[in-house]
Amino acid sequence: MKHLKPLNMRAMKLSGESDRPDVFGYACSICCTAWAPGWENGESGNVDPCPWMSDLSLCWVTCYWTGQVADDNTEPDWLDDCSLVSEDWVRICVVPD
Amino acid sequence: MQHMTRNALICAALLLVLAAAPADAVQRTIFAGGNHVMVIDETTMSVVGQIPVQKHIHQLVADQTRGRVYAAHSGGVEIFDAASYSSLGLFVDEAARRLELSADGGTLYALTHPILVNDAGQEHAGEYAIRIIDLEQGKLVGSVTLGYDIFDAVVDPVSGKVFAMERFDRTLAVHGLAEGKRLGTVTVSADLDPMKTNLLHFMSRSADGEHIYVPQHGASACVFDVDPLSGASRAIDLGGEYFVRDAQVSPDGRSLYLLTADQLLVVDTAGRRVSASRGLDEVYIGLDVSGDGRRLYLSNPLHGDGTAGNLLVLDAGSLKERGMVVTPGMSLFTATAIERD
Repeated sequence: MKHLKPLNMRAMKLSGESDRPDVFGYACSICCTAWAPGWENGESGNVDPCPWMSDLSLCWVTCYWTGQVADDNTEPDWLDDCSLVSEDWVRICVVPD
Repeated sequence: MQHMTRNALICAALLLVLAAAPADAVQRTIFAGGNHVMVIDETTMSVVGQIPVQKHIHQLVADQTRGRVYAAHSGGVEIFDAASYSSLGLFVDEAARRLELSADGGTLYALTHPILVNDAGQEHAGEYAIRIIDLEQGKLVGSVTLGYDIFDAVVDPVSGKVFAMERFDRTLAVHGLAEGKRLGTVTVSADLDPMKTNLLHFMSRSADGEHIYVPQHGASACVFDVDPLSGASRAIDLGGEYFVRDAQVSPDGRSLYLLTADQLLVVDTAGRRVSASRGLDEVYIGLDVSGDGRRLYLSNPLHGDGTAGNLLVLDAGSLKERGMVVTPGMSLFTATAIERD
C-alpha cells in the first residue's frame, strides 16, 4: 500500500491517520459483523481489529453470526475442544461429518 | 493483681484489633472456567490447580456451606469438591446453561435441555426445563418445562416463578415452580423499533425477589427492571451506546454490574442510574460477584497476544484492581469463589 498516493482531500486525511489499522473490514465499532478468521492481518502487522475470538462463545445468539457458528441449542458441545480460542478455533466442527 | 490487669488490657486490645480487621483479610479460592476449571489462590493471585472437564463451561456457582462448586456445562450439571478439586459426579447429564442457588443454599436450579435424535438420525434440541435439585438430598426432585429455544431463564423462589426469555421476543414467559406450567407473559418492552436489538440473555435477579433485570444493548442501551409480582417493567437508561456482555446483581441488591465491551458499569438500583464506571483495556466476556459481594471477577478468553486467557479481580466498591491472573493456554468465560478458613 505504500506505493499509493492520495489524490483527494479525504484520501489525504486517511493516509495521515498513522494509528489507523490497515484493515477494518468486518469490524463494526467494537463488534464484528461476520466470523472471518485469518484475513484480518494488515500490511503493518495489525492483527485482528475485530474481537471475534473474544465474542465467539456469544455470537451464536447475541450477534448475527447464526449462519456461521454452531447453534448452541443443537450443538452444545461445539466449544468442548476449545481450550484457547485463538488457537483451538480450528478444531471447531460446525458441520457434522 | 497489677499483672492480671495489664494482661486483661492487652487481651482486650488484641480483641479490638481483630474485630476491626478488614474483611479484605478473607481468603478465597477462585474457580475459573473455560473448557476446564482453573483453581486460583486469590491471595497470591496464582494458579494452584486445574480440574480437567473437557466441556464448555457456561457458569460456575459456589456452595459455601458444602464447600462445593457447581458447573453448568455442555454435558450437564457437575459437582466439584472445592478442597480436593475432584469431581463428585453429575446432578443432571444433559446440556446445562445456567445455575441459580437459592438464598438459603438448599436448592439448586439449573436451566438444561436434552439433545434428541429423530428417526433419521438427526440431532435436535429438546425442550428446555428448570431442573430443581435438592442439595440436602443430593438429587433431582422436580422439573418445570419451559419449551424450545429458551435463551435464558431466571428463577425467583420468592414469588415461585420462572421468567424465561424466548427467541426474538420482547416478552418473558412466566412459569410457576409449584404449578409446573406456564402462567402467562410479561411484556418487558412494548417498543417494537426494529433498529433496537433484542433483549439479552444476561438476566439477573435481586436476592429479595423484587427485581428481575433484563439488559438491552445497542444505541439505546438500558436495563429493564421487571417486578416479578406485578409484571410491571421500567427502563433504567444507561446513557449511551453499550454492547453488554454480562450482568450481575450484588448480593445486597444495591448494585447491578454490567460488563460491556470496554467498560464496567455500576447501576445504583435504588437511584436507577449509572453511579460508577471503569474502563477496560481488553474485551472481557464474563462477570461474576463473590458471595460476600466484595469482589468482581472478570473473565477474558483472549489476553494480550492471544496465547492466554486472564481473570481480572476488582474491588466491588472502588472498582480498583486487586489482581490479575493469566492462564496460558486457557480461555476463561466464568468464575466463582469459595472462602477458605
